[in-house]
Amino acid sequence: MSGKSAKPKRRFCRFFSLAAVALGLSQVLGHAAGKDDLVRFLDGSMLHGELQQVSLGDGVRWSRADLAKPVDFQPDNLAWIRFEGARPVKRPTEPTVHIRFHNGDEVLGNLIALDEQRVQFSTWFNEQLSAPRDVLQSLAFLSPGFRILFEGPTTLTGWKLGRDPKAWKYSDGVFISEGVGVIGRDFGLKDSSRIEFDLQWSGTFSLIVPVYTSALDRFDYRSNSYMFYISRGYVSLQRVQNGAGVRNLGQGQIPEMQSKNRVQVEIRVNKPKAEMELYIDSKLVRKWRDTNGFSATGTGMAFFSQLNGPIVRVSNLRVSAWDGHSDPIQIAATDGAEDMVFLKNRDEVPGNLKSMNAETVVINSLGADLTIPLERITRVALTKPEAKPETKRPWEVRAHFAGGAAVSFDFKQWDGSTLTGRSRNFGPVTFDSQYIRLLQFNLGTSQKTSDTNAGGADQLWPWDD
Amino acid sequence: MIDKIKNLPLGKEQGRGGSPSRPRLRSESPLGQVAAATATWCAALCGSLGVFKNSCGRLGQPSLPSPWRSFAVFIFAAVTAIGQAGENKSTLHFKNGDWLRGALAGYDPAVGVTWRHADATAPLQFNTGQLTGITLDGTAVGQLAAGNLCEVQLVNGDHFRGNLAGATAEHFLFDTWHAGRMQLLRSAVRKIAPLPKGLKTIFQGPESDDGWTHGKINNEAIGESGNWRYHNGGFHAKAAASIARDLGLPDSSHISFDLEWSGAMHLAFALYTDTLQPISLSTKENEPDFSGFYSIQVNSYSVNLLPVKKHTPLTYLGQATVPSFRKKTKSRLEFFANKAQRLIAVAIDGKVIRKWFDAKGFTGEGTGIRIVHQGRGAVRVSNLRVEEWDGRFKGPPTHPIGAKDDLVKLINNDRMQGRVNGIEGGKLNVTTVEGGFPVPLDRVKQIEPATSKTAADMPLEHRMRAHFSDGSRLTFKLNRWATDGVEAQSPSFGNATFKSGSIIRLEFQPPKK
Repeated sequence: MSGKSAKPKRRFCRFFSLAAVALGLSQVLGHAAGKDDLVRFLDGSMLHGELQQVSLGDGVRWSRADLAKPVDFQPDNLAWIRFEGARPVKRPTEPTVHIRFHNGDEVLGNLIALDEQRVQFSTWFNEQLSAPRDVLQSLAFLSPGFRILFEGPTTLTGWKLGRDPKAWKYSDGVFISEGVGVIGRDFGLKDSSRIEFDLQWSGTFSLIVPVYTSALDRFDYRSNSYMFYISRGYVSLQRVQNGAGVRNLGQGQIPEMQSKNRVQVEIRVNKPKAEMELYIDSKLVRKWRDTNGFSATGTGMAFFSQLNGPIVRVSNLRVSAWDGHSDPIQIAATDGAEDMVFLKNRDEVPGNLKSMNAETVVINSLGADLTIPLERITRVALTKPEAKPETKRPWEVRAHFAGGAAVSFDFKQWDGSTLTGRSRNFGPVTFDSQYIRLLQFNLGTSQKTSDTNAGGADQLWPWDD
Repeated sequence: MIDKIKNLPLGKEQGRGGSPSRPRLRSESPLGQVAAATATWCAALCGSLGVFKNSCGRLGQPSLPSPWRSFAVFIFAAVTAIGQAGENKSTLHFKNGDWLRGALAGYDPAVGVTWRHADATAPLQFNTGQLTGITLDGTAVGQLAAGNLCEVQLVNGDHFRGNLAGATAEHFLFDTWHAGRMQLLRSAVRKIAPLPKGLKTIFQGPESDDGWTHGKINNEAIGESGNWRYHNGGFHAKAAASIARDLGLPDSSHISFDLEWSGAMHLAFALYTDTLQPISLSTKENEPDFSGFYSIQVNSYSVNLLPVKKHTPLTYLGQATVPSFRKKTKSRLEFFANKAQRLIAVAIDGKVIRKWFDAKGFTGEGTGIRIVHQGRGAVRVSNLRVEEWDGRFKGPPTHPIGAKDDLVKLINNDRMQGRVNGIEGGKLNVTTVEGGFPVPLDRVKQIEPATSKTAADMPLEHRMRAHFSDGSRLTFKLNRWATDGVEAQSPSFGNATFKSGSIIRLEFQPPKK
């Protein structure tokens, strides 16, 4: 991988033969030196350290400064390895479609063609991939102008901290607030946008999320912005305008938060229409419209924890440009016996999807072939073939990439910069390892293990739930 | 409230919610079933608890006396070799919050901790620089032969129980269940408090949640309810949870336990209850019939006592503020109860903070306890000991550190200053300026020897603190941990070898006190 750092970090040796003969190909991974990676087990245990090697024979070799010598873990009870400082993937072209597979894999790319046997597409890691059609679950077409502006956090770098720099700290993909303070960043928000993040808390908390603000390291009523006030069970929105003061635009209730301590928050901002929506766990809580028109003038956002005591954790933050009206990616699986094409006018066309290319979709519905221009389609869901019983594959791993994709494959080799394996969906795969933020093991069971260390580290609650 | 509290600001809680249709009792372990554990000690202990219920779901009195302290010999049958019990259930804790399950395979100062992990092909060897501690699974409480049982406190805050066996010019001698005969440097011993003979220890643990009843909390205001979970000698809770057990509380009882918490803390302890399910206080009249009990409500800044009885208005008996809770994350709590005196008292970290006398009579009508976590923060309850109480409060030592003479305090408040020379035939030999006196040990309230502030000091880099499964604590330099014993050394007791299954937690480089 590019980014192969001057200070070699991880070495992997190839160990792959029927006789399990080690080839010992040890090379360097390209993640930034000095970062603290994290391995997590299915029982919630976790160890920071450094991945040195992965081999089919020896397992995962992990080193730490306080370990006399590196240890080899077999993969049977590994949940995942998180890599600090993973770089966002570089795409030659902006993706137009989100492709999801029945096994949980998902990629952002561009559709080339689909017929009754196969689907062909391009992605950032391969210009042309082909997969059997029956492994495909859905295609969701991205709104025009879709662009991921930020995905993280992976570090404090690039963020502005308020007067108390200790109020927020970064650890293992999570911003953690244990006191009153602010952290913000300029994302270059220009037009409409979507802001998504996971929010976790303990006790009674109060979090202000100013959006489209220029005050990134302070709470400032002089900056033109919108401020979401989120507490356990309630959200309200204020418009803040320099010289005009503050106007409360209304409150929404989130009773589900009373019985939880973790939710997924999504804020959608339609700038031309001055409309803002807040979703909790994909459910719309409240829609606001500023009748005075969109008055915020900043391009960043911030998190301001208002109380001392309760712990607030923000993770899986994703900020993306949005066209202001398309539904965001919806993973449309169909349980029915027919494929389904979803149109922009909200019509749905059931039938047998015969083909797709970059311009049209052909679906046989009620006995007739319908040809629909791709531009009229939001997404396509395909029928799920009958599941076949599977044997356990301890070396089937899933790589999660910074920038929104997750691909599983039978691990073959990691030579230091390039990870290779064989995907059951589309055959041989090769990845530049610097883009991998998480390598997941024991797919299925490890899904239940939080990828941000939600609670397992607490000595008083040493479980991951 | 107690039991189920509305989510209101601290100090203004009112009970609410609760399901009138919920079952009164879950299936309880009948006598003997509790002793599912194979260990001899556990069977003996649990058998002594006599947990049973009658057809109404009320709890009865224990059917068997508690015999464990009367055994004439050391019995320590359940100490399983490390690496067998506790495989992958012990936990290694690191300074950065990392933790790793596994089993302690050994310790040597030269190589550090040797740790076994089921998925690792070879044992892991950690130096101790980044370790904060080890919690050990598969531990057991041993038993001690009848003798001159005393509570011993050292100048560094360590404490344990042992039979006072004698004294030499330099040492006090104690027989302990975890290390046999121990010689304690006289100047390192802060206090020796003889325990009244004949008082029964009713419960010591927990060793599991066997015999305990997990209660169902139905109160939306509290939030998501969950269960207490047993882990490494303690009960943990994060979401609102209730756990209860009929311990056969005697008319005069002493309940003590370690409480740890993170974040906000709000717990309610029901004493002398006959109901193993939580009671919603604001709707208590709609709850299935229950007999009166006391609710001791402990939160981050105070302790409150509330008698709870059906058809009787709820009136708190008064609150004791505990400012020290704000600066701590753990404390030793003690509850004292005496039916005849209509007394409930609470001590925190050895100091009685409040005594309540219930003018309307003793409300508690059952013999069980219930612990309800209100769902704020995470908590752990461990080293729970329930025993008969002789009605006397122990006092903190008052003899100045650095004093040259021993001080013997008698139960009639007399004092003798001089030197404790030994014990013979149940009598303490005390020499004062007026001569030598044999004092029956049962007349001694406590001995406060001549001490030196630095007698137990040891360098931080060597310091390790062991917490034993009976609640004892000792600080030492660990020389070796192996299946055949834990070899340790300290200025207080010299060299000692502890049974490896007796230690439930090890702290690395703990603070001095």
